[in-house]
Amino acid sequence: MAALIEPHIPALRRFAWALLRDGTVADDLVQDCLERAIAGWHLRHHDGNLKAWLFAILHNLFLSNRRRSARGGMDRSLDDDGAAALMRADPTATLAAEGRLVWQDALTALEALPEDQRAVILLVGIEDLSYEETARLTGVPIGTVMSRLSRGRERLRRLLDGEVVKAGAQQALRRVK
Amino acid sequence: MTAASSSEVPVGEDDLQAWIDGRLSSSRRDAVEAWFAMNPEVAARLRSMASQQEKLRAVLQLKHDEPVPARLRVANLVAARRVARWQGMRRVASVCVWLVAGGAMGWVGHATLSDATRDRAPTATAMATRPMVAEAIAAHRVFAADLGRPVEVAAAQEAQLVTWLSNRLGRPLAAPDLLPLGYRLIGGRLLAGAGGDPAAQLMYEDARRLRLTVYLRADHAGPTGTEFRFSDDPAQGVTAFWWVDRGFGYAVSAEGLDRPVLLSVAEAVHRQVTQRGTPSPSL
Repeated sequence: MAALIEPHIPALRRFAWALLRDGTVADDLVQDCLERAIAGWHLRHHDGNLKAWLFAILHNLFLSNRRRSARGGMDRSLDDDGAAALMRADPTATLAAEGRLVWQDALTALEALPEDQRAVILLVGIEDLSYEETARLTGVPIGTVMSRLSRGRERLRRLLDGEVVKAGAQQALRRVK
Repeated sequence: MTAASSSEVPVGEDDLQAWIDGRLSSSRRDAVEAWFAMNPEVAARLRSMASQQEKLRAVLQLKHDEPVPARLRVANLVAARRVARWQGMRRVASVCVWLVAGGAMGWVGHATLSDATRDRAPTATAMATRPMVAEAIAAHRVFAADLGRPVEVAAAQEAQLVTWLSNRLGRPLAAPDLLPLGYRLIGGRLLAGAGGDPAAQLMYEDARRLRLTVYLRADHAGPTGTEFRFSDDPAQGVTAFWWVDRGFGYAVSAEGLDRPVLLSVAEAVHRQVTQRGTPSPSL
């Protein structure tokens, strides 16, 4: 079991850290994930993909912890307040001419995306899971995975290329105010 | 003009994403790149996305290459688990002494009762008439469909939930962990079973929001036996696997779930309840 699980731990840590951006909290999440994987080792599908199974446990735990910490509604989507807060928090963000925000740090820009887009970008683009595995893991149809990828990457590009993000228009539905 | 058949399909958004991910067949990639030549603006955006993805990979690779902390070593986690289980067993043992004392008295009367009813109630047909199962299915139907308030106490307060239900049912319970099967606990509620016995319903949900419930209460009616039995309510599409273990009935119900999947969940629940010695007084 150890020999099968161990090779995936660096990637699990990377995914958790990219989601949480806090080393200790991320490792707590990975530890929780591994404990459950060990306890439920006999429950996995033998023909299934172990990597996808581990990532599914981690992602599920991430979602329930986030719900638990009662921050469920706080998708860090980039509305006006969000942009300002991010800029305060991120010293690499600079205010270019014409008041456009430019992020030099791809990672910080990633944080400005809605969580579902961020997860898909990480699972596909960084962790190399297939579109099918990502769809199964996040519980959405494959078409939704593709559209989250597409929208997420487009927003990321705008942030990093310093284009004006029309946050209000795109995110009006997301805000609960 | 030089198009192979796969390049005649119009380029779609999913082709563009797969291009970024380098997951296109070579003929399809050629088609996309030919399309780029005619759509230079989109091509520029896509190239920008691809290079950003590379940057992101490079940054995150640093995290990947860090040494793994000792606490995340599988061997250490397995060892810690052994210690925790031993301590848990000692706790369970003290509870069991108490339960065995109470259970033994009930067991004598119970055994004679079930002997008398056993041949009149064959396993296969016991389901529809067994109140515990009918209640479980009905409770599933009512609460699993409830989007607004499916549970009374959310999983966020798991400790309180478990303590509360344990107190009300008079048995130490623990919510089975079904995460390895893809189901997370969303909470539970207290219900009144037939005859006024308190019953607990725990609700789980998978990534597709498909819900299943675990229903449990004291059940001395009819035959006992830890073998799984299948039951369904064809009118409602709710299916359940259930069993009775030492006077305690369990039913795992879901709607629209394949029977083998539901069975594997029922097995996981059964194994965990039995391992924890909850509420079986047989340890």
